[in-house]
Amino acid sequence: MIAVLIAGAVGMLVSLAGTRALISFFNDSERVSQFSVQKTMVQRIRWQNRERQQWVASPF
Amino acid sequence: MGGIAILIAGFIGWLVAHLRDGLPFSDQAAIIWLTVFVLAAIGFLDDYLKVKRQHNRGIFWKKKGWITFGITAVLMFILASTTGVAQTISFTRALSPGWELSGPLFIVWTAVMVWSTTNAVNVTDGLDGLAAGSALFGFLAFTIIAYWAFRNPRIYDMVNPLDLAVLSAALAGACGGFLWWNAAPAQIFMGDVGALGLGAALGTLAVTTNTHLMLPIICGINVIEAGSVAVQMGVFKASGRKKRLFKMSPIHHHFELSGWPETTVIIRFWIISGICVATAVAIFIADFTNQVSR
Repeated sequence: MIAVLIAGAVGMLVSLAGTRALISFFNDSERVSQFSVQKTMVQRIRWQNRERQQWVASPF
Repeated sequence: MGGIAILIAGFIGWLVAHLRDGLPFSDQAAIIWLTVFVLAAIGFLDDYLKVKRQHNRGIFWKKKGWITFGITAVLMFILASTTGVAQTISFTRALSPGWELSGPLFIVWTAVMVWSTTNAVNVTDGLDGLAAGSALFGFLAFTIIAYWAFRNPRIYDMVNPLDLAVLSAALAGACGGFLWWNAAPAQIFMGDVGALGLGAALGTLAVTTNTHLMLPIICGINVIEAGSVAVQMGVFKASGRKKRLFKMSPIHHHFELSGWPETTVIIRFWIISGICVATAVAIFIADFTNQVSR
């Protein structure tokens, strides 16, 4: 049981720190911000999908 | 790309837990990690190409399904041939219902299971925290199932259940840590690398814990999401590309377009996911009490 708890706790702590580090890495203006590009792209795709959907759903 | 953090954190959690005496490394857990990282690598390549090309279609856009299925089949062959995994269709135990499958059929069956789960998790990954939250519930269910099997070895014919419970707990914790930053409004997304990796882990855990037919209940929200896409496409094609059942698929976008705020959709889907997992665990425990009372 203790091994299961250790695995869960270590997994969570490493993930907390690791994800925070990734966010910092991708948001660093000195580097090519792939994360920002991806985020913008995902938002644009969502927006395009909604636009397309509204256009298809429109009676005109 | 945030999925990298989840998978590495889960792997480190699993490794650190082995520092305790009495917990040996198992071949099944090793093959689960192999499956996770191979499929995550495909997801990473796809993510990278999408970003590089500034387009939502990676190089594998049309071939990705076949490529991932072929690789999954190879990995399931390794799992079946090198470990003592029960080659039966199972619900709560290897012998329930215990329909035996010959080698190639078992490989195809498990490959379909794992491949479907990776795709279903990928489809679910469309709103902030939805895929990570539902995967967290799924891993908690497998932690309970594997640990229960470890405590009751006479009833469950499972190979190295404690190691599977540790692996599942590590991934549950990693999903929780990621969710902290991925909660709406998200500061990072898991991407295909995370979705394919987590889907592979859920699918292979179902294979190794002998809970094949329970997987659709545990991953109920993923089944609903993937099902909505299939139904939408079916209706659209059957109507000569004129009608749609949902305003948009996957179904979380339908509710968004119906006016539900994003966070409302996410939390309600988490509730559904929690109910699915609770149902699965309840069925598992009910079968256990039934076995004990015989």
